[in-house]
Parts: sequence; C-alpha cells; structure tokens
Amino acid sequence: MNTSQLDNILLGFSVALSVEGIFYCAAGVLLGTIVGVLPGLGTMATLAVLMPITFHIEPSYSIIMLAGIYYGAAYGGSTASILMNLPGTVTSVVTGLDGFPMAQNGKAGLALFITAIASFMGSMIGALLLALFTIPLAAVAKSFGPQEYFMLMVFGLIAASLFSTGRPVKSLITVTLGVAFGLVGLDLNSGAARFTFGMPELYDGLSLVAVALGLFGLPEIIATAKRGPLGNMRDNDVSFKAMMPTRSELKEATFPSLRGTGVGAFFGALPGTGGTIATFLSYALEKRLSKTPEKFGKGAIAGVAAPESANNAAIQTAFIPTMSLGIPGDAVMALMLGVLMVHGVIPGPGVINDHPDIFWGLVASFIVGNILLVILNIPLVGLWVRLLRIPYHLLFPVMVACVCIGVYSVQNSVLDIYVLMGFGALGIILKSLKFDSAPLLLGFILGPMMEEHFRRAMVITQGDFSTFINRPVSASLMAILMLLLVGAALKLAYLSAKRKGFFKAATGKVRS
Amino acid sequence: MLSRALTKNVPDMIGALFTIAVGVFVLSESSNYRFGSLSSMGPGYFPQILAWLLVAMGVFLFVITFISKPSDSRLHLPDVIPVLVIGASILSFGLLIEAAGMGPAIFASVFISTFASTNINILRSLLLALLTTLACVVVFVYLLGLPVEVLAL
Repeated sequence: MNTSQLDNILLGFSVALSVEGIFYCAAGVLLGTIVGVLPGLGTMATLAVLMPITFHIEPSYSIIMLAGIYYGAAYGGSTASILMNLPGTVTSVVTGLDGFPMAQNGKAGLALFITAIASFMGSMIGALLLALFTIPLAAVAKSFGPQEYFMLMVFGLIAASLFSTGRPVKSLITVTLGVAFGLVGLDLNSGAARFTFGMPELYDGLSLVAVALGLFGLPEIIATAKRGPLGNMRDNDVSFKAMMPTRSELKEATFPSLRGTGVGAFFGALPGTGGTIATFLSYALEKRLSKTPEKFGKGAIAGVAAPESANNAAIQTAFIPTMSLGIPGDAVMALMLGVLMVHGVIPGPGVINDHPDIFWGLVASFIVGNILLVILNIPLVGLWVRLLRIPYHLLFPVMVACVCIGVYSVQNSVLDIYVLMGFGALGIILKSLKFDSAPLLLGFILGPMMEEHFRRAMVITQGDFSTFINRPVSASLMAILMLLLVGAALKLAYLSAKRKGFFKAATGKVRS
Repeated sequence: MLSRALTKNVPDMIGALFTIAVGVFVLSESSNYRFGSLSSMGPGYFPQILAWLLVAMGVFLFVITFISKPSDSRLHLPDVIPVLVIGASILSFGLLIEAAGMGPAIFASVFISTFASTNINILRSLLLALLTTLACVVVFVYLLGLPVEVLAL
C-alpha cells in the first residue's frame, strides 16, 4: 500500500471521527434501529423520507447517515422478530425462525445478544473486505469501455430480477418499466424532450425523491394507517444477566457466524443478489451442516447467528460494486448513488480517487456505527422493546407531512407532488398485482446510464453489435447472463411440467 | 377458458395486460422522436427497444399464466378508504402549498390523513395537525432554512 492510500485512509477516519461525522453516523444508526424495530416502517421508505434532508449536508456525511440507517435497520429488525415474531425487515424473517422459539423458551435476552454480536462480526469482516476489494476492482474498471459498463448494468438488472421472489419475468417487467420511466426528460445527446408532454418541469426527468417516496413511502403509510396497536408481548427478561451466553452457547454461535459472514459477503458483492438470499442460504447451510438439525425451528443458536451475520456482511459488501463500478446491486444502493449524483459526484471507478473522503469516510464510519449499534442493542435493548408500543395512528399523519415537504422541497415544484401521487398509485397497483417495486427503482436510476453507454458503444464501433462479445469482460458477462437465463427457463419448464402432472393426478383423485 | 384463467390468475393476467398497454403507449409516443441508425442513434431508438421488450414480456407473462395451472392467487386489493384519504391529503398539500403557504398545507394534509385510521377523534386530529405544523415549520423553515413561505394568504 502506498503512502497516498494511507493518507486517504487517515482522511477517512478524520471525516468519520469529526464531530459532524459522529453526529450523522449516530443519527443514522439510531433512526435505523427505530425503523428496524418497528414492523411496517421499511428501510426504503425511511431512506426516501430522509433523502431531501441529505441534499443540504455534505455528500460524505449524507452517505454516512443513509448507510447508518441501512445497517442500523438490519440490527433493529431482528428485535421485533425475536420478541414478537413480527419481522421489522424482510431479512429478519429468517432470524425469527429460531429467535422467536428462543424467546418463548425464556431465552429472549440470549437471542438478542447473539444477534447483536453476530451482526457486529458480519459487519466488521464485511467492512474489511470492502476496504480490500474496492480499490483493485476500481483499478480494473478503469480499463472498461462503454461496452463493459452496459453489460454490467444489464447483468445487474437481470440478476436482480432472477433472484427476487416470485416469477422472474414479473421482476424483469418492473425493471423495464423503471428504465422506461428513466427516459422522461431531455435526451442528453440530441436535446430532444422525451415523454415530457409539454411540461418544462419534467426536462430534468422525474424527481427521484417523488418516485422513491411514491413507490415505497405511500403504500407503507397506507398499510400503517389501519394498523392497530401491536399485540401485547410477554414479559421478556432482557437484563444484562439474562443476555450473557455460557461458554458452550458462545461456541455454538462462533462458526455459524463465520460461515454466515462468508455467505453474506459473497452474495452481497454480487450485483442483484444481496442480503435476503444470503440470509436464507446461510440458514439452510447451517441446518445441513448441523449435527442436530432437528433443533432448527425450535430455538437453535446457529439458526439465529448465521443469518444475522450473513445479512450484515452482505450490506457492507454491497458497497463494493456500488463504490468501485458505480453499479448498484439493489434499490437501496441505487438510492445511495442517486444521492451522490444529486451532489454532483459521478458514480464510477473514479469516486475513490476523486472523493477519498466519501469512500474512506464511509468505511471508517462503519466501524464507528457498528460499535454504536452494539451499545444501542445490548445495554439499551429494553428501550426498543418499549418502542413497540408506539401508537401508529398518531405516527402516520406526521409521516404524510414529512413526505409532502420532502418531495416539494427538492425543487419547490408542485408537479413533483402530483408525480408522488402517481407513483403512489403505481406502487399500490404493483403491490396488489404482486409485482416487486424495488427493481423498478433500480431500473429508473440505472436506465439513463445504460442508454448513454449503449449509444456510446454503438457510436465507437459504428453500430457493430458484435463488440459486446468481442471484448473478454463483456463476453464473459454475457455468457454468465445466458447461463442464468437458460437456468431460469429450465427451472420454469421443469416446475410447470411437474405442476401439470401433479395437478392431473390431484384432480383425478378428487373426481374418482 | 379465458374467463376461467382470469378468475384464477387475476394478478398476473392484469399485470400482463398492463405491461402490454404501457409498451404500446411507449411505442406510440416514441415514434414521434427521430429513430436514427444503430451507429448514430436518435432519441427514439432506445425507447423503441424498451417498448418492444415490454410488449414481448407482457405477452410472455400472459402466455405462461394462461398455460400454467390455475393458482389460487387472487387479487389483494388494499382498503379503499385509506388510499382515498391519503390521496386527498396529499392533493390538499399540492393545492395549498403555493396558494396558501406551507403552514395551511401541512395542517390540511395532516388533518385529512388522520381519517385514514379506524381510530378517529376530531379533537385529537386538530391537535395533531396543529402540533405537526408547528414542528415542521420550526424544523424545515427555521432550522433547515427551506425557501418556502409559511403563510402566503
């Protein structure tokens, strides 16, 4: 490592350890913990609500705060999952499988402790990998042309669709819809206004804040509106004494956490996969490796430790492609890139060298934030348990106000309020048709960059399409993509064949 | 046959038709833009590719929904009242923010939105709207310095 890199690392720590750095990091992880604990308030919605505020603070601090919300919610999400079997976030569903039975057996304190420690371990190793891998990857990416960037983006979008829940084609549709919404505005090459319908307010494109809040904020507010008070929970002993694991319990958690970290770090770094898959896979892996698989689902410590460490490691490594290539793996990362772009930072391999304060400040803040989170989640967990009694019917009207002000304040445009309403309606429609909205946001943010790289590649090669398979990196991406698509098609064919046969047999039985 | 498929697979069927409709719309709108050639694309080239992709995927979803076993996934519509109330609340904000200023806009949107809940109490709604308005004005206008008028009557 050369000296300038060392200087950059020191610069990062000076950002993260400054008064503002610690303040925004603490604010982020605290807010993250709160929204993570409360079922019904999602990470995406919170990030979107806070996005307008981050436009008023320096980019390095805004990223530190938004990232803090993301991993803070991962810590907090397990609390309600363990205590009441109400997962606060999608990824904490798995933690509840064994965490809730542990709580029912009077071991809630222990489950919360294991969760916090496993999360801390996953995060720290993930942050280390982020620091190690981002710079070499960015160096490789320096040689990438528009062909590689275009293929990487297509790869990210398609991988995100194939690995999401439900029918892959439905996610592909939402991704493409997102790319189509990204078309709105002036075409950078020709200056032609596209899909603006005579409204000059749309020349800069649809407001990212209005789109994100409409898709994620409003459906959540509406779901929160009819939520009554949460059911009473049993009195759990979450005192410090109840939390301390015995030596054998600690041993039971160690290797699952390490394996979980590995699984999480790998899937987190791949564009399009991320935390949800990592948690499910690490749980399945532990169950298979365990000498006592029958204990899983009834309160196995490994069943809590592995998914939590996987989830947190995945969050950290998700920043690797985001920061080195400028390609976000999921909707949350896309939102982070969106914030950077608003601040005039162009995503790509140049970010680390041009803005070392942002990259290294973020890495250093992960250490600060995770230490704060361990404090928030071990000694102070009793506070969060009480938070679960919050009156939702007083909370959501305040959220409506914050959403409206947030959307309006970005460019003082009333049209953005109507865009918000439109995307709120779209979000509700997609939800009731069981389409996932997250790929739409990913497509919306990546779309304009994709078109730009596609057109540039075609200009350079004078319209030679084979350039995508003549260059090694882009060709290998294309090959992997084809394998993924063929795999998905085969799976679909297999499933439908099986289902059909099964269906005939079943109806035959009923009729006879 | 069609009616049977529709009753059994409503979300995917509607989704497929919706996708095809959006695709056709994008196709017709982008045909107004210069298409260009592969080596020098006009503003219409990329949108047309997207539009055809949307139509193709919509048709694909329609076909696989049609041929696969009818599943019991019905449409899960959200409750109408909260959707309409929250919609009205945001609309009131949009109508009032420039006509009357941020104070009235926040007051109206918070007051209206409280009726989305089943737990309604007019006095409490008024109080909540008032407190939220005050808090938002202090935070957004005085602390964050947003350039909006509090009262523009």
